[in-house]
Amino acid sequence: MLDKKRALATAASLMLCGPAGAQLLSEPIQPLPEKMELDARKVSLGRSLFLDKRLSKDNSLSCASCHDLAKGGVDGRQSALGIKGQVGPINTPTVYNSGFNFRQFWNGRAATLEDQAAGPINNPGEMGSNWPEVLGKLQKDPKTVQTFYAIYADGVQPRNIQDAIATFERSLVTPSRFDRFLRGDDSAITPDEKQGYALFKSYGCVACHQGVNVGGNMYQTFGVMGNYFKDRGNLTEADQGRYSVTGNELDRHVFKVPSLRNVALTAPYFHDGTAPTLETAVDVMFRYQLGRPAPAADKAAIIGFLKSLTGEKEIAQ
Amino acid sequence: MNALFRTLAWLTAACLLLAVFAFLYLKTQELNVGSRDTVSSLLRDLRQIDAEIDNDVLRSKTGLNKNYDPVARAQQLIGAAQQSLASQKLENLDYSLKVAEKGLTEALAAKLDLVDRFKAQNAILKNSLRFLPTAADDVKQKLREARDASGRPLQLPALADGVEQILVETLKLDAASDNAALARVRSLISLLVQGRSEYPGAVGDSFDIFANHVITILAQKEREDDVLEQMANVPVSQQIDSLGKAFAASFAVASDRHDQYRLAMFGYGAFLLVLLAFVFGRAGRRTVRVAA
Repeated sequence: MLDKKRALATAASLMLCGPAGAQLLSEPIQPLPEKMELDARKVSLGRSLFLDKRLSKDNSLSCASCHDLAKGGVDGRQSALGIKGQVGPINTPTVYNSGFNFRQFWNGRAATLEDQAAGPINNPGEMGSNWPEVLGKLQKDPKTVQTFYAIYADGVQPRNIQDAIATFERSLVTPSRFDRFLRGDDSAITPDEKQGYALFKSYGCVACHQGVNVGGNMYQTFGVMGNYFKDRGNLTEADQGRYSVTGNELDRHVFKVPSLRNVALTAPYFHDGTAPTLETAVDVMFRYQLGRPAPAADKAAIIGFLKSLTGEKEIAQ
Repeated sequence: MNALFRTLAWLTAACLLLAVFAFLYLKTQELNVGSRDTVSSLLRDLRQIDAEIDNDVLRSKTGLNKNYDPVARAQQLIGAAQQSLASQKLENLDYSLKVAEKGLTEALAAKLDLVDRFKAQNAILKNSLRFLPTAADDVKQKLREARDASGRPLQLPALADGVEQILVETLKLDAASDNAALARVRSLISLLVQGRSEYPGAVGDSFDIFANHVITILAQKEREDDVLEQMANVPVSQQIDSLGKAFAASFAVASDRHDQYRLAMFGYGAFLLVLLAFVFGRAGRRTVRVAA
């Protein structure tokens, strides 16, 4: 039943949680909720676990090492760095607003944030630890044990660690000026940004990047209108995308469409981190996803709109 | 020594009698009576969410849904309901329910997979359909600007007319597709593609983009129709019915067994009380005799 509650919470967060005028309802992008109903104690515990390096084998990395909250929830690197300097296979997606994604990881292999939280901890190439080790370390700390027991009847357990981290991650919601615009504040974004939004819709970017998270609610093939991987070369396992999860040929090079919220802060872009700037990323999208050229001025306007998606502040809990 | 053996015999007999009672008690606890309502409610939820997915997919197809959040939400709810159902451990009630539950799990997985495919294909289709009028205008514009070797406006009436006709046919195709219409558009675009070598520079480039999107629309339209057909054929409702019926039958059997064990436990409890009364009565009489 707990899982059902979690899903309902996520589902509810995907729903429109504000004034729903006719104009707002007709928009493909919807505003973030103004308030998240989360257990403040779990959020607090989850935050401390998120920053806790004891979750890695050699106490050198925490979740925040890759998902730096001060850097848009990413590490700014092409690929993530694991323990002992191991270079990971894929670019770190942002943790901000990840609670609104319908699946987690680029290939969608985790159905929930709880499942996702366990992944890096147990991955030898990332935090390189395992649950017995993590539990051993945390159970030696009386203060942590006490905090766990205050929230969970069975104390320090893997599922409780996952629950707390996931709850904290759900609290990482970043309303932007564009959300205020969607809620009716016409002056929240500039005329140029409005023009950029209009172009974002008319060029078809919005076909995939829509919904409350401006993406994150579907999968899409990378290279719809052109062969991105042939042109880029050096095919890696990470390039297989969802195929590596399902083994279905139709899923080769299929990835979860990333959210564009805070996109101005999360360079480099794409699962392979090959686009160092928004300008490059937009060019690649026009070429391989939209299959059409666009004047530089239109691309600049779209980038201007994308910058209006940068969060102004996290929602206060 | 005799007294010790007798005491041990009495204790063994008492333990055996209590063990039988404990066995009967545990048997009466095996059936969670509340699970019937929980499982029925979960199956009802699954049926409703499945219907909502069908509804939201159609709304997305027709453009009534402006984004895929409603579909994604329903997908998450299905996952959560499945986990709740799994936590009921139906196989403990009757192992054959595991088979029925597996059938439902497979049907739901197939459905969710098709929903994911629908979203991806629908997005590509929408993208190309939205762009097609612009692409057609671009070809016509480039055609108006094009000049032949003598500097006169280039005359390619077949291209201009063909592009316009394809645009109209393709937009109609979006409203109501049929194989004949698809074949008609495919034939029209093939004709224009055959004449590609006659289209100079910028005209050819803009035509390539137009043709690329027409071909994408045709392919996606077929794939989308195929996915929708497959989705309609996934036997989710049948599997829910099948699991519901199997569960009801197993629950009825388990309930009968539960009642029988309960009856046996009460009967056996009464027997133990009588036995206890007899033993205490006998011990009491012996104590009186010894005292006398």
